Amino acid sequence: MQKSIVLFFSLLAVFFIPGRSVAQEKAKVEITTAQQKGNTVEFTLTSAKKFIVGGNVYVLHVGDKTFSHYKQSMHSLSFLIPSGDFNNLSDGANVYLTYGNENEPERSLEAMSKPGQGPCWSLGKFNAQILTK
Amino acid sequence: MNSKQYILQALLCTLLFLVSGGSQAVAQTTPDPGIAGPYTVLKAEYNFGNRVILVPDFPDSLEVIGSVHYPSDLSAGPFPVLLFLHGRHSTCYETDTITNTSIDWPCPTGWQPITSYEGYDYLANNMASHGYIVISISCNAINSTDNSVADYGMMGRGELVQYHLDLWNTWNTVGGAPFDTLFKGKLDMQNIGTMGHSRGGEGVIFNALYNQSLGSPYGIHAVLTLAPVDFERHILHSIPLLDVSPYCDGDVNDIEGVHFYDDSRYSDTGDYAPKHTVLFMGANHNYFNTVWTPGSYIAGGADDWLYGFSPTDPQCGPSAVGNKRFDTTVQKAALTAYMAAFYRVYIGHETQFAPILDVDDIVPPASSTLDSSQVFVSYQPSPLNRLDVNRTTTLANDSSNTLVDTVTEHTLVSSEICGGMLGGIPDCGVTTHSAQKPHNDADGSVGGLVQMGMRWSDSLQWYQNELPAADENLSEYKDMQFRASVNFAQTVTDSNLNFSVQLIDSEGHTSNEVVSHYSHALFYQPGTQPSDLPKILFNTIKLPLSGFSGVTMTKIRKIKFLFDKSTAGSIFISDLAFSNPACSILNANFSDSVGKLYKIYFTNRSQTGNGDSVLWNWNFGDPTSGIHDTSTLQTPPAHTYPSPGFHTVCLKVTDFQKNGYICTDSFCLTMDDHPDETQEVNANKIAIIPNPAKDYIQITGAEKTDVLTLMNLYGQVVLTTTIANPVIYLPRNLATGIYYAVITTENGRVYQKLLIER
Repeated sequence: MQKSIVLFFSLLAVFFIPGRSVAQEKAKVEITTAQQKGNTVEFTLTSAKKFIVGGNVYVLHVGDKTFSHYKQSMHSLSFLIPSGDFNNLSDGANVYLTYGNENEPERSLEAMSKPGQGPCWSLGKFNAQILTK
Repeated sequence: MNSKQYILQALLCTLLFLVSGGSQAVAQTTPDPGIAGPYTVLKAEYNFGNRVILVPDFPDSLEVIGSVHYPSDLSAGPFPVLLFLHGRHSTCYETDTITNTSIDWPCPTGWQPITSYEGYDYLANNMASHGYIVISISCNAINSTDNSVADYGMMGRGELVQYHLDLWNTWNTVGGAPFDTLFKGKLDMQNIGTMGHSRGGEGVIFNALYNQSLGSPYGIHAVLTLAPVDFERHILHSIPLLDVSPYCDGDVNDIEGVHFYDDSRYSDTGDYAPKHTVLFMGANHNYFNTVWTPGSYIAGGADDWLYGFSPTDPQCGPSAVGNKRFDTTVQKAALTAYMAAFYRVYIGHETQFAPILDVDDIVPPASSTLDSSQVFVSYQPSPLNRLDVNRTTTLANDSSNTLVDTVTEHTLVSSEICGGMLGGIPDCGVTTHSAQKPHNDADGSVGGLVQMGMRWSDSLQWYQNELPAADENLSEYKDMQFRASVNFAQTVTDSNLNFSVQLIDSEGHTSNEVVSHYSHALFYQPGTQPSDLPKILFNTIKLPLSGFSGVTMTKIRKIKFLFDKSTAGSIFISDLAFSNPACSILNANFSDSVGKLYKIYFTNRSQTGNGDSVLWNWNFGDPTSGIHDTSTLQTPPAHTYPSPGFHTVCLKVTDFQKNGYICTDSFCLTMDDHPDETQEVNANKIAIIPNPAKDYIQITGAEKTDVLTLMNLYGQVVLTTTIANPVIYLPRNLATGIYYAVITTENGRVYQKLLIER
């Protein structure tokens, strides 16, 4: 009986737990804060999974605007957005994070953010209310 | 009269081709540059601290840490110098957990530095074994904060490299801690190659430009960018370039390094430096550095393909059955071989390895462990060594080529100039994903690659470039070449393409050659990773003109691409040219010195092909001396003239090249039998150094608008360029000998005699 239970759960695991799909699964990335610091807004994203430390840059896409200067720690990225640019961002614009792919057109990003489609994360809609001063 | 001609051994070449089975380029015998050399190698380190210098264009202080690999016997120095700069990677690991990494700098208590600069020791060992001093420097401080700096730390990287070169210059001249006088006089700081990986790749481009801006205190003569970024799109000119692209790069997956090659091709008419790319089909970004490779360093290694892409992609996914990824050993062997070829040609002047980089030999060196389906090369020869037929750089090039003659096509499904993203040139329409069309990206005022797209659907369709009468004589050239890539979006999946190239002479004779006999570059690009693969990447296809029989090479008027081998397909092409002047390596030359009683001694300074059979025919212009008026010796006897006066001596050299060409070159010198009194005016304090020169000259005191004209002793102009950059690289085909450098300034001309020693 005990063996049957073990076998049952083993089969369950085979069918429902993805195999070697580390790169297929996308770690969750969240917008956590936007803080005014002088003439710059630090727009911070966090992830439980380490961000890549490599040659390419992360790019924050807000609508058709892109930002690629940021401070990085292993689990956070704080994009440095000039206040004027931040104020011109449209509420409700789609927000994506890509690793590289700075020139990717906005229309491609939604598809890229799906599992298995590449290093792109959909972060929801932009809301300027997140800014704290 | 200084004439060159060659006799094409068409019958011999045809015979060779038939013997070879007609399925592959004629077998080459290029030696293998990647095997270890004769020197025993030692390694030493230097470390002045983690935050010890400030450079002008980076906000934080930087470390001065590096290593050096060098021949244990330094007595044969000075040795050429290579400097390596790593890219961006985690900087520290936690000693307790090992798996925790960070990008702090310096590393906090309980953490240790990740020594990325040591990840190229395998390359340094190999090059040092051939007699190079190889420096690799740490760049962790910049990596820890560069993303918040406007240029991502690129200028800082360039300045850090320059700081290390300054340091080594000090050790080379006066010595100092920690090496004392070990390296004093042992480094040739005028013969340096640099390599940068990832962000380090753009860093060494910035360094080379920075060094040029300082008046080139160091002789950087070869720059290798390894899987680099190219964020800023600065263009390097006048230094030979090799960009190495890994097809399975999961980090810089838009293969930005192709821009270093593309952007520099035609943007400076005074740039005589050749350019190369190497594409490794199974390589990723990280495995070139052993510190970044899982299993070969304690912490921080990763297969970058898995940063965001599928482990089961059939080409690049490491878990896919039958995937085409290089394992770590193969990837390192591949880079070792091609890096060695590059530096040994351009720094070591071992031209026997040039066929590997020039697409003359598409069989990879054995030490690379690759076959010819795993590596592809692009080659842009010096403008002195090519005739551009169609650069495909403007919209008009679909109807009128670079020689200002007609371009036509016959019933192609489509044909258009596209790409580049600037100047109203349409997108090529392959895909929206930028990583799948790396050549196309524009940045600011720098456009991407403009190319000619062609799609065909039956065997009667063609594309043709005509040549004007003034350029119909192709007898000087050995090859026709162009770059190409399959357009995967308009080609049946997994089908490799093929077509014929036809030459048509002015009498209507035709001769065809099949591309697949000489190149595998028309392959359907592999991989299915959405948004990333397949990728359009351009590679050079080179067809030897010796394969085209039955046409008169002095009267070629049309080049036709006949799409008669694949029933349908679509390609992009660029850079259609004739290249590799057959007899360019041959240069008859000699100098004289006057002895007593009208006796003149001659020094033969001619350049011929290595191992060729050569005939020497001297004529001393003194018929009264009977049989002594001529000589067939390589080093002729001194000749005594009966009376003083002007005497014209001629040397005719006939070079029987190993590949079947016979080249002749003549050189005459009129001399009087008094010591040379050549006028050397230097009133404007313009100076040319070094003299003798080898690969380059540096002109001081000149204005950027001044013009240098270099002439041989017979008055032939061999080089004309503005002095926008004070360092001017000498064409590779110039033979050892005396030349006149004429600098034309606003105030007149300045002459200087220049000895070039090769």
